Amino acid sequence: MSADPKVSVILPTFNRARTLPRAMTSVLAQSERSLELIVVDDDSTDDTESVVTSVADPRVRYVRRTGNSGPAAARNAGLAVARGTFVGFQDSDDEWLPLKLEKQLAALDAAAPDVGLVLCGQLRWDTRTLWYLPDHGRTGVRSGRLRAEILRTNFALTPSWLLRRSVVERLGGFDEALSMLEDWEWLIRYTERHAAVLLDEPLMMVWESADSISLNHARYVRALETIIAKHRDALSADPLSLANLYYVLGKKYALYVETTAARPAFRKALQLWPRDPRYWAAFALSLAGSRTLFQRAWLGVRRMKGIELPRPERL
Amino acid sequence: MNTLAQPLVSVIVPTYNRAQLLRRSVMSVLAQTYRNFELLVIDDCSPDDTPKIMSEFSDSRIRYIRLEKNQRAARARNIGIEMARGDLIAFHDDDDVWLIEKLEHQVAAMREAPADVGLNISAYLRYFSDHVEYVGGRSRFDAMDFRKGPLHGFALIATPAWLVRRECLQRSGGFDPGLRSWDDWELAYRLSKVCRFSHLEEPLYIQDRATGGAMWKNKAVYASDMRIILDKHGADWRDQPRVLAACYQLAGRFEAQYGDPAQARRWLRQSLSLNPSRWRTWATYGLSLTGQAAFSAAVKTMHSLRGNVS
Repeated sequence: MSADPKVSVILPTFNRARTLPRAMTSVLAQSERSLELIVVDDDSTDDTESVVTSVADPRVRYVRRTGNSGPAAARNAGLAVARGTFVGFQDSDDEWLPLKLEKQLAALDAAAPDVGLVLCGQLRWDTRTLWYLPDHGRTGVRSGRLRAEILRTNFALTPSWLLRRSVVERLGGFDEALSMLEDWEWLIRYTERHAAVLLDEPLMMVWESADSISLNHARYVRALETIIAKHRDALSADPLSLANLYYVLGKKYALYVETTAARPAFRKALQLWPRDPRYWAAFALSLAGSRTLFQRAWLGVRRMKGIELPRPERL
Repeated sequence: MNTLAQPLVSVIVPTYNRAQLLRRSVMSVLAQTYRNFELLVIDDCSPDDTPKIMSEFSDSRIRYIRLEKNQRAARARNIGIEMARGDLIAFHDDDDVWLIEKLEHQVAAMREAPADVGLNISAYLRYFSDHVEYVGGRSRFDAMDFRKGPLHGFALIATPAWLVRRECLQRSGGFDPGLRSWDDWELAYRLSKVCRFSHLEEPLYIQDRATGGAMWKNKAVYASDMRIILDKHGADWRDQPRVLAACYQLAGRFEAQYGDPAQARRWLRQSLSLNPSRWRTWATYGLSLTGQAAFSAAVKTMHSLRGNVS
């Protein structure tokens, strides 16, 4: 092959032959043509291989792994063979809009030299509900170090990133001990020392499906606990964020796993940030020890806030 | 290629003075997973560097047509329809973005539909600078009933959401060049007399209202457009005086707010003769006697009292 491409796009995938063509086409149709698309097949049992190898574009590279080892290891395998100056990630459910790479490259160009990461806005659709991330108004982030925002609201999944590859070489890849949230853990490491830029416009579309990996709650709490343990010292510098992490952990336990297991998490959140009434309310509810009660209360609050329901038609 | 399974689609994009946005719009068509299309870009005599932007594309499926003088989008689309070679026609706007499976899903839907279905309308997403909206859905589509009056279901009818049989367009006639705002609804209404519609709930394009924005600055066009629609089709609702009365009331309101107060009063009298029991029409009529400035101020106050913006 000729000169190295500008961007390496790494797409880890497992048994998603059906949605893969959309994800791949949206990368290959980018206005920025200088790219390689590295599809890392995490030992799929469907016809992923034939779907990938039948794409007649020399920019596609197919890497097959034996033994399914999860997205963190698959992305690291992609990084190991990447040749681009920049690195992006795609997921098999997602669709990039045609100018995504072009706009992110321009943003990196215009940013200070210490900026090694550009994030972009994402539209998400799950057959009922539409969101835009980062949530309008609530997150309020634009540019800068973005650490506090990323710690508080995990708004940037890997397909929204564009990185300088040199950054990955310095910081290392994804933590393979994590079965999820490995992207967020990487961002915690990155934002400790480096600044990022957010392009606050939708440059991609996330097609959520019922079996999306993020719906596995037991794995979520395990991953979150591992991350908090790994980064406790660095996170302690920002007690509000750490308190919020314990609060999220407690909520996940209480809602989906085991209400009694939520108590220590809520207690830690309160120790770090006793001023937040939500933490007190959640802690008090968890003392009752009933998951149903907790779920009802939670749904009630969501309904009060008017979350969900798309807006009605207006002429 | 099997042309029966993969019929040629003609994609028509009218454009005026939006060179940078147009590039994004064209890219989103070229990225389609469905490959058998021709893309007709009808440049409505843009003074900006639209010709240069278009010359940078080398895809042989693009046909770039530059009009000698500006004639507005409805005529530009009609020119596209006349030049189209495909049996299926899709419309696109220069400030919107198609998702890449749009044509694939709509062509499949059209192929599976009974022969009397001539128009497929997809759901779409609206992106504003402070929120997002989903426009579509089975229940809203099923509730779309033109018997309910002019402009009913208007939001669902956006031309970039369409895939339509050319033959149906030929039978219904193209866009009405006299209209500037509701030409899409008016054509859909005529199409409803020659074919049935179908709907895809999956959102297939993004309407970018943060940078694009299609609303008319000169709101007087709403008044004159309503007049044109009522003149053309008002008789269709003659057995529904309340529906017509509401339309005349709306036309009168637009006219009073943005156009000619004397004409406004004629509309409002017509509305009252059809439905004298609607107090809002009387109030609008009373206000229209005060002149345009006072009328606008009163409408704004009422809206702010109700907490919404029109």
